[in-house]
Amino acid sequence: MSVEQRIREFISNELMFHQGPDGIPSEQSLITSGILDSLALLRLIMFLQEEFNVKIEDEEVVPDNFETIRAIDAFLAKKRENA
Amino acid sequence: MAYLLHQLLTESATRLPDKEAVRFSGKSLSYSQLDRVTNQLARKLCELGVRRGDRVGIFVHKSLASVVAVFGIMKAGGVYVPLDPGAPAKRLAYITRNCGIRVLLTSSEKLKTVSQFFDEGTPVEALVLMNEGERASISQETRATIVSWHEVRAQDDGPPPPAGTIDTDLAYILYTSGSTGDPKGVMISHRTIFVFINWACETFGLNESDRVTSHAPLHFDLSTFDIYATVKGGGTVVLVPENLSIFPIQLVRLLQDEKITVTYLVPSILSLMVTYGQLERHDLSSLRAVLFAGEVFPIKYLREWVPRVPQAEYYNLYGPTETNVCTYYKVTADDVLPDRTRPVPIGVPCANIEVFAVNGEDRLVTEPGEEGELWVRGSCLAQGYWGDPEKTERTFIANPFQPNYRDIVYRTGDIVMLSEDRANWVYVGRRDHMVKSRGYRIELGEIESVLYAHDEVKEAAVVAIPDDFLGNRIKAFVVPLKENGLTAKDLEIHCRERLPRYMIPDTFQFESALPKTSNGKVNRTLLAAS
Repeated sequence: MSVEQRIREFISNELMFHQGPDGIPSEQSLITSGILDSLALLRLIMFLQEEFNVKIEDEEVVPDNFETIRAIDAFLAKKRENA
Repeated sequence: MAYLLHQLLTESATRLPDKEAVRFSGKSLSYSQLDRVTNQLARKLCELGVRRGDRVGIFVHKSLASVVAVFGIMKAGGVYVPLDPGAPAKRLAYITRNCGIRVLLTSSEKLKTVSQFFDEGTPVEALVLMNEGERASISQETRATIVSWHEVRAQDDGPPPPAGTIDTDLAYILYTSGSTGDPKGVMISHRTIFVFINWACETFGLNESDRVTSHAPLHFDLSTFDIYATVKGGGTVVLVPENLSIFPIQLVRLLQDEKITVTYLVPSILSLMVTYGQLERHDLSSLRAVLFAGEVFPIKYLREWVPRVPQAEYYNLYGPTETNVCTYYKVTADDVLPDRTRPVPIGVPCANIEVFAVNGEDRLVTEPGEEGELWVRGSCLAQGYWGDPEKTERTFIANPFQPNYRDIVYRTGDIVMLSEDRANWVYVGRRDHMVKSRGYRIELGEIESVLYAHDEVKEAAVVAIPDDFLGNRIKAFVVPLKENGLTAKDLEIHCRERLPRYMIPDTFQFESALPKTSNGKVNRTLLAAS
């Protein structure tokens, strides 16, 4: 399963957000559509840290890195490259 | 003499025409600009047939348009009704029907959701698009007249014809969770909100040097402080973009970069900011007052705030939507000593408000430690629930302690007690099934009604699990009609179509039966502990 799929699955199953049969579009804003609220964001960060073995710094928790599933995917790719 | 909310704007525009009134993402409007564009909007609304007392909906994401909308509607004599931009169409369509919204201010990005209102049934006839660049037309999907922003801006920008509004007329209606399954509209008159705004402006000394955040959405009553108290003082309202509002470090950075002097937030956001926002690495020297309300602020997070932003004063504000803020408490150094575990009190009544507590024997609470329900009296009370006199009469009651003339008191449903030194009221809990989560109030019964509306649900019970950051997490226990059919995903989608984000249960748990008390009621205590 790709990283993007694993993120999507976590959001669907753990954050309890299903949207239609195809799930959440990669480019849809997770914030303005109400998928991520403050608690969901914290849980997502914990998931990413454990699942992908990265340490996410406070200053990395910004909209640029978390706005969409694609943004999270790109952020993780960068983190893992630098690790 | 200002006695209507929009007169506060006109007064500040006369006094400080070039002063920045409102800012959003680097764009801003001066007081004079805000006054003139809201005159134009009011004139257009009059043309569309809006008259004194007519309800006008606002359905936009937080932006300069939100502030333009509220003042424009009130200048036309209208009553504004903010619709939660994140709530599902079913719920919003219900609100438009419930209070009879004919004109809706929105933007082109929301048109898809608005078209669903028409599928659900709505009295909306005209849509005003508040974003530039859209053309006037009849919408294919909705058959409503669409008015472009260009048409609004083509209006004369002088004051609109007087609407004849007086201060006992309604200013706005805020919809809040109702225990029987539908949201209820709390009606607020100009006089009602003036009690709060006058007190707030004086107590916090708001003036033209202030820069005040506006974090809460319009449908949440914290927004009235941000907008009206700031405008009365002639300060600058700094709108917090919705996509920043869940990122603690961005919020802290905004406080720093915008040199915010006063901020009014729900405790869950303040807890996140102090835990993840790196307060100590930012220059928050402009911040002079941190106000919080909406839920209990866990003392451990308040204790972390104080030394990091030591020059600021901290205030706990208390009050349901039905009374606005009715008590307040200024945090002292003693309150955050390391051995303190209790949350700070809700304090003392604001100016021109009386509060008292009534015990189980209908007598006034007079002794420290004794508990009772908090009752509130004064001009601060809402006018009740729109279109629902029965529900209104259940909580807005004739004051039994005043037999000689008509005097209304509001029963908050909150249990309080008097502090040891008799100086302050202390919050104890609720007498019913209302809880707070993320600062929003939630009737657990409303979520249960929605679950019961699902064909495959036999029994449902919803409980609140205390959570440091959220106040409460919502957990639903469901007994399905058939085994192996219903999934959590089905229920979540069902809820999402009917409830706003903050009311969707965080977890669903399936059971074969729900535990009952000896009198046959669902045993919530047992469920909450499981």
